[in-house]
Amino acid sequence: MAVIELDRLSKWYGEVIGLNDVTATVDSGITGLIGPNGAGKSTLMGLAMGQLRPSTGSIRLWGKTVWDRPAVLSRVGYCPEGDVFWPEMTGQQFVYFLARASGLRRRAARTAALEAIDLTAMREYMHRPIGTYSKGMRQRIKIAQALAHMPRLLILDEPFTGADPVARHDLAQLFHVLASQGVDILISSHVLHEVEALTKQILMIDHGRIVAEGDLREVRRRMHDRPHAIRVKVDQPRVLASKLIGLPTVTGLKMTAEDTLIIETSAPEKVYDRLPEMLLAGDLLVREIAAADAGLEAVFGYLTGRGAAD
Amino acid sequence: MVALFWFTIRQCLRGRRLWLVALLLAGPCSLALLLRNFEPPGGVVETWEAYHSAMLSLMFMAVLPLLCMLYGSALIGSEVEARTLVYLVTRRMRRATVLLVRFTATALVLVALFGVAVLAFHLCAVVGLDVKALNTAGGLSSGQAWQPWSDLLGYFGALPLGVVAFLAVFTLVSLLTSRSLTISTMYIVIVEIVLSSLPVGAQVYTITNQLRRSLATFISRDLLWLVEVPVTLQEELYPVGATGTIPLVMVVLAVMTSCCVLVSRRELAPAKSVRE
Amino acid sequence: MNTAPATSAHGYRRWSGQLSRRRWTWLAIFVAGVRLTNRATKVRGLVWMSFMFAVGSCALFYMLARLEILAGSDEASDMYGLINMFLHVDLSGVKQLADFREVLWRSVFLFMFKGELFWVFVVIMRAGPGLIADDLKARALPIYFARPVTPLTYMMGKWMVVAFFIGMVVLVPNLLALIFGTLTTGGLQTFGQTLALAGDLLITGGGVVVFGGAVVLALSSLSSDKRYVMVGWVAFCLLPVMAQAVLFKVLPDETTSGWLGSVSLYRDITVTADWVFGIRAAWESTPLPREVFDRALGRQSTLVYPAVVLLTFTIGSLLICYCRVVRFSRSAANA
Repeated sequence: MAVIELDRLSKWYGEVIGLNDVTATVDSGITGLIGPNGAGKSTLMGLAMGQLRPSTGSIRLWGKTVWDRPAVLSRVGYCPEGDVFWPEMTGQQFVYFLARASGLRRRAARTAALEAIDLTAMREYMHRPIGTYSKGMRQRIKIAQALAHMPRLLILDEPFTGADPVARHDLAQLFHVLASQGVDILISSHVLHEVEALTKQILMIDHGRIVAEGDLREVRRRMHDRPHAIRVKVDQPRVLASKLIGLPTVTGLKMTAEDTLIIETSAPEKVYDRLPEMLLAGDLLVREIAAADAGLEAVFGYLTGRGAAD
Repeated sequence: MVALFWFTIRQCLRGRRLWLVALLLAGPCSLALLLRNFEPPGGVVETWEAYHSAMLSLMFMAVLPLLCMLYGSALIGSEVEARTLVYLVTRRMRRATVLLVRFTATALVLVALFGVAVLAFHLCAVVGLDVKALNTAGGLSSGQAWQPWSDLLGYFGALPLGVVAFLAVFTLVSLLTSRSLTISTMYIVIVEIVLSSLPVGAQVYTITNQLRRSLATFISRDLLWLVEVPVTLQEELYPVGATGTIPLVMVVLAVMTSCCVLVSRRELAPAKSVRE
Repeated sequence: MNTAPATSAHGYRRWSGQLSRRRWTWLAIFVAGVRLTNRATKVRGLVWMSFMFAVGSCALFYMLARLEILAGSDEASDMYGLINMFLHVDLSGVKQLADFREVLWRSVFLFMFKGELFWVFVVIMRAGPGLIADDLKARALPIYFARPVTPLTYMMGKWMVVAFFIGMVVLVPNLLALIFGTLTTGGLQTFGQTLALAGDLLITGGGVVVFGGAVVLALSSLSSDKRYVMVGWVAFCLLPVMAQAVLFKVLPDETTSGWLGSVSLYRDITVTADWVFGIRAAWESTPLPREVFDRALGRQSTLVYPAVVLLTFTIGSLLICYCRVVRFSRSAANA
């Protein structure tokens, strides 16, 4: 069963469209929700958490609607975007209170809060008021409160914002561990390479519409109107280019550096098939063969029209 | 629910807000001390009048609504503004439950705070006063002796009524509009101070009038001549034997039901923050 | 595809023009503050609605002008009743009303001024509490003090914002009404009679601007939550009025004629305005019998206590505000 199902879901704020007739599913594992500012990511998360009421259509968690039916939320952990706190509370009080509000009994909540604080490496700072925390610490304590009641689904709105590189790495590791233990995660982020490092499962959103859904490689493969680019770093790129030019599937060749050739093709598998033979025939020294635009950033650029990969 | 209840109580007793509350409550006590210092001339009637005028006009018509306005507008409104409501409504509790738990906790805190203030005012006004001598010199207009401690019990009886009624109204205002403090202030000044003092039939639609009715039952109908209502209107505005308790309870129930419906139907998210 | 040139392509030039002097930085804060506050439709609505006081004054001036012509006739009897209701003067037996034009106009302005004070209370409640509190909440102070803004210029800019809105309620409508009344009632001759009034209006209005602005600014600097500031302002205005009512009710006149009579700030302001307008002296200097204007004079009070109370609150508020802003500027510098 899909974890989250969106069925012709729309959300309007007066005349502004937040989400427009969206139908999609989020399956188990980690799913990256990506899109530019104002695309509708937080709206989608707000709808998933029952904070917002759908204008039309429906959103279901494990087959159950969320709006005004909060029982299902006991299995969900939510980390909102931005500085959302009671600044006078200490980190421990914050996590403990929200674990209690999620229905955990006193002792269980205390243990669960400490475990969640440990998971996010906040034990050292847990007795300080949140108002005195740095941005990264605030982010981590927010994730701790989302974890405290041991949910089956985590909805994380921009969890990497404000975290330093080490904290980002630690958080990414934590999400991997949680996913391996059966926790489903829907994570939104602007930092595409971080989402890409976490998962290949994406939900790409722009102007309130889903523009791509599913496995990133599969999404890229289906983009027939965009020639695929293969970057080859080789000692004699001109020789390789002369051999490639005869292939019917090659639509363009570009030398971006002394040793780099970009091959544009409508059928990358065929090029990959022929490349070893050509390289051997020309006695060429290869340093790298890579898909130049199969990454999330390139796909995002192609689909949203906001910059493309080189 | 228990966690939310204690959390709300802790929030209500937080430093800054408590300072403001202390300042608000210090006002009537200062007035009581002033009145003690400049003793009203005459006997028991004048002292009785000074005590009840200050208690009714300052404590129940000004300080109590202001306190309820401060806490009622923060009940849900401040959480919406700070966006922290997201943590409460994304748990397994229904929104109406969140509201009712917070309302109950806040009302209890207010009853306690205002109760202390009423007691402090009473002590400032009465301790050291030779009530017995005053009563010996001449009783009240009804011929009875003045018993300040029994009057205090009457005020304690009306206090929870006033708290829940005002708190419910201001909670509703805060759910209906984002400018709740301005509208609540206008309500206090225009309805609860001006209208409730005018000798007109519409006075019965004010909480103050209903509270006075209850106080007239709990304490004495002598209180009514402090309100300066013409005798012809007195029976209409303050019928004998009619307390304001039942109307106030009905109002609270109706208002809180509306609040629960509103809080369940509305998204309660600051729109700008969720548009992305 | 984005075809706009990258930001870096525009180049970067250092400012080589002239900068305005440091002491004028308050003007930028003032203009930005007024624009921001004025964007709220409710504040704009309140300011526009305050012109009803100008309309009210003009209506009374018109009525007085008609009475000057119709004095003693049957047509005038209704107007006498209205004037008596608003200004508490019985003009039914008075001939040659034009001779008392100045004192009557003063009474009109004092009457309107008392109403305007309530409007000032409301306008300050909407426009004032956020002035410094919002900056504190948004942690915007380091942005101010990273520029050549001093605590004094910051405070000045903020104070000017609230002063602008108070002035729009308590100064502009009165001056407009005065100009209208002068133009429509006898022209230059009336101008000579009422010129001093313009000065009095500026003094009373200015006083309210300084006092109200200072108090709300001080309150605003005390908390980052404008909710508390707003409740503080309401309590500051409302509770003393209620307390004064109790005192007047239960204590004899001789006790409350001293400092006990200046507990209510509303009353302090109206007593001071009464003195500035010279209502009592003006009426008493007329040859009219006392019963004509006795009700207009109200309770006699000395000016000393109200003036001291208002001055103390103004200076105290400005000091509190200044100390707080200096503290913020230092912590902003440290940050």
